[in-house]
Amino acid sequence: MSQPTTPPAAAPNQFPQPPQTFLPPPDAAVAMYGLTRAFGQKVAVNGLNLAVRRGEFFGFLGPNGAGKSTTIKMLVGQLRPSAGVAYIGGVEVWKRPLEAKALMGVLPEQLNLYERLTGRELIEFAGRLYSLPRDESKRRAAALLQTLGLEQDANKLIVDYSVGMRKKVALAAALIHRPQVLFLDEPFEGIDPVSSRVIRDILRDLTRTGTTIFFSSHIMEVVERLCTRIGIISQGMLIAEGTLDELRARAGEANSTLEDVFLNLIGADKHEGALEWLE
Amino acid sequence: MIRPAQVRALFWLSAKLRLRGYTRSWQQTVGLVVLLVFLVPLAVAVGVSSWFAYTLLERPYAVELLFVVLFGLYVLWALLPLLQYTLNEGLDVTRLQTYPVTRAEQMVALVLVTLMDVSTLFIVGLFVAILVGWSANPIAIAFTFAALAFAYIHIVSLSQLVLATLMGLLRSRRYRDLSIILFAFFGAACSFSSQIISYLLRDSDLSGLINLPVVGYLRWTPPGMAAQAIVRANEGSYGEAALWLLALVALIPLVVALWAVVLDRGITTAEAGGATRGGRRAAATHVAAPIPAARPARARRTLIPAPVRAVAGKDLRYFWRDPQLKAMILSSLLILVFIFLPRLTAGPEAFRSSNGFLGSYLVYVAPLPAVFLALNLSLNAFGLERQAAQTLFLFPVRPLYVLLGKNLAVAFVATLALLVSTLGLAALSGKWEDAPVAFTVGIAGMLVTMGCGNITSILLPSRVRQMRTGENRISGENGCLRAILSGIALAVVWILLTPVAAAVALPLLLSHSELLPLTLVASVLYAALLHQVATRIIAPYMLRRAPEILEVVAREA
Repeated sequence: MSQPTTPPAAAPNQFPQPPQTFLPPPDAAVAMYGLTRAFGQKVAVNGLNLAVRRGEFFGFLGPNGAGKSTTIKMLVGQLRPSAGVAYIGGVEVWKRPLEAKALMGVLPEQLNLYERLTGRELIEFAGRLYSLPRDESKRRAAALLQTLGLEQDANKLIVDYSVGMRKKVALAAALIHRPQVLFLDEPFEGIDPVSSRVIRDILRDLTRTGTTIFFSSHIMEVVERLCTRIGIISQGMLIAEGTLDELRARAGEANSTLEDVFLNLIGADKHEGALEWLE
Repeated sequence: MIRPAQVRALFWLSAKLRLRGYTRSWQQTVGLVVLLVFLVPLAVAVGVSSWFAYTLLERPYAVELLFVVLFGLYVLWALLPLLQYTLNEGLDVTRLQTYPVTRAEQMVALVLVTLMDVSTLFIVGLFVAILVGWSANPIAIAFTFAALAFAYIHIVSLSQLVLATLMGLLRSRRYRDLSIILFAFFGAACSFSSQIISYLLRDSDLSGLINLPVVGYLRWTPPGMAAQAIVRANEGSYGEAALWLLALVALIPLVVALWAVVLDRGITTAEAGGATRGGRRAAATHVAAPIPAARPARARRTLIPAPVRAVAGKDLRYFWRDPQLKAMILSSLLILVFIFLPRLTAGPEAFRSSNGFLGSYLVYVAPLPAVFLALNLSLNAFGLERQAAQTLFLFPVRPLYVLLGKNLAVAFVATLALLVSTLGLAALSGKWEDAPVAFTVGIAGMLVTMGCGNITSILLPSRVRQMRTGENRISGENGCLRAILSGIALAVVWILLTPVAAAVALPLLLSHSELLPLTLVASVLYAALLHQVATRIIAPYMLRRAPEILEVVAREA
């Protein structure tokens, strides 16, 4: 729905400011305009313009260091943008942070959980902070623990969990208030295939009922299977955006896999010959 | 088989990692310089004094001292890893498992890299003293040098053997938790133990202990063999010295082989991080159930809002379960030990005496532990969240509720401490009439401290590192400016606490104790007002400053 624009690269201290009249499209669950973040002289995210419709499963792809996690951190209110605006469910993130946070659930890439709480306690704690009544928090926590296969370990401290279990408990904490927008940064890393299947089913169900999912991953097969639209970011700029077919058309590679399209669009070089000693 | 190239590579790795640690962190470099400033004179002093002892003591005592020194180092180096104090940080052999390096090569490299450890300075000081003190002739010097070299290999090998044997235990979360608390209290425990022991032994005859012949017991241990070789060589019995030396050398491959076996077993059976006791974990085979939609919640109206209770509950659990926080809380309460202990060793009557520094005002020190506790837990509340602050800031909670929740948890713990110290001191001194005054002042002090803490937590957060092996400090890496600002903030807190202290001190000093009820009420009102004003003014800044707070407190190591 939005045009994949690539604004001109700006000097770190002269970022173009969004127009005063900018309003997110009415059906946009996530919208950003001119979103920029610089760390010193390095511009990690450069003037990102993007809108994600309600109920969309949006895949956000890019090579390492492209700016995916930085973008997500700006969208969820953890990293202040150098310029630009971000809206979640029509609420401007940096002006009305509490309202925006109430609409979203976040599974960050770095799971900095409260490790000295048990899995059950963390999920219930999240429910309480999302203003759910205590009984409702308990009921939902129990349901999530059961669904994600964490029931047996629910009363163990998170510090004793494996990576996959931590990811699942963090996902449960992000889901407990049934968010309108769910941000998932590398959600399937360290998750076993069975749990991965369960999570995929949950996410599909959520999008059917109108939840928007903003999903960042390196696993192309998962993105290809789940996402209704895909955005590709490289060196801090959105270089392509659309459905898989639209991206294929743009890359001039009909019937190719998302991985081929992705590699084509980001211009990944093959280093033939350099490793001849391996042969 | 020992290939020099492999050993060189391992030595290079260790040296590189060590050097990089210093070049990438100026704090670590400063720490090293400070450590050297203290340790070099200490090593020299220990070395010189032991050399004097070898020279001046009568022969049997000098021999016993030699045995004790070598055996002491042997045991100390074996025990320190149990306190999670890793003496040779540079070369973690468990990470070398995938490379084709033999255990013998690893051990040679380990012995060599430990020569770069700062702690080795201590050994060097003592060894040089032995070399100089036991140098009857050139042949004896050669024997002494060889014996010390082999003793050093034994010291490093035993230390590694202990580490390998206890690998599972040392890696377990419960042991690590315990060791953090133990290490934090190591100094206090030593002081406490020495006072108790001196109290218990003050009437005992220790001459038998001094004359205990240690040589007989220790000669069959590796350091004892080294000592025997040194002593015999210095007496001119080179044959016997050579035999002891031979026995010492012969034990080295045995210890290394044992270390290799134990290490291999430890690595191949090491408990996985997320292992569960209940055997195979049930896979998530449930069909994905839709997340229940929120029922129109009719929240029960309670005095304390739900998010405040949730934050307070979480913090209280953390105070109990997080060893770092637990150590912090307990260390705040250590002041009680320093109040009680000298009087305890002097006998129970000392508490009822009106003499001494505190005299009849003993109960009035009761609020100190509570105020220290509140200071420790409040002044950098988000720093104490460490990386998990990122999770906290994801939730849509009113900042006021977060601050009040945190204050509630601190107030609960500090009030308990206040109650215990007040009742304890009142009972011991028999001055029950002072207890309500001390308790009220303590509450007022806590309120002032928490109010100030809410401001500093938001405006001056500092990073609190997750405590790692061998550390007994909580903060660090926050820079000079931040340290100065924190110092100023602390001074301001003490200034703001003055009216609270004055509420008790002035009526007592002016001998108008009838004014106490009035001044105490005034101090509580002052403290409550200050807490509320400070908290409500600063709360809105929490959201605005969230990224800056997170950048400081939750940045990765």
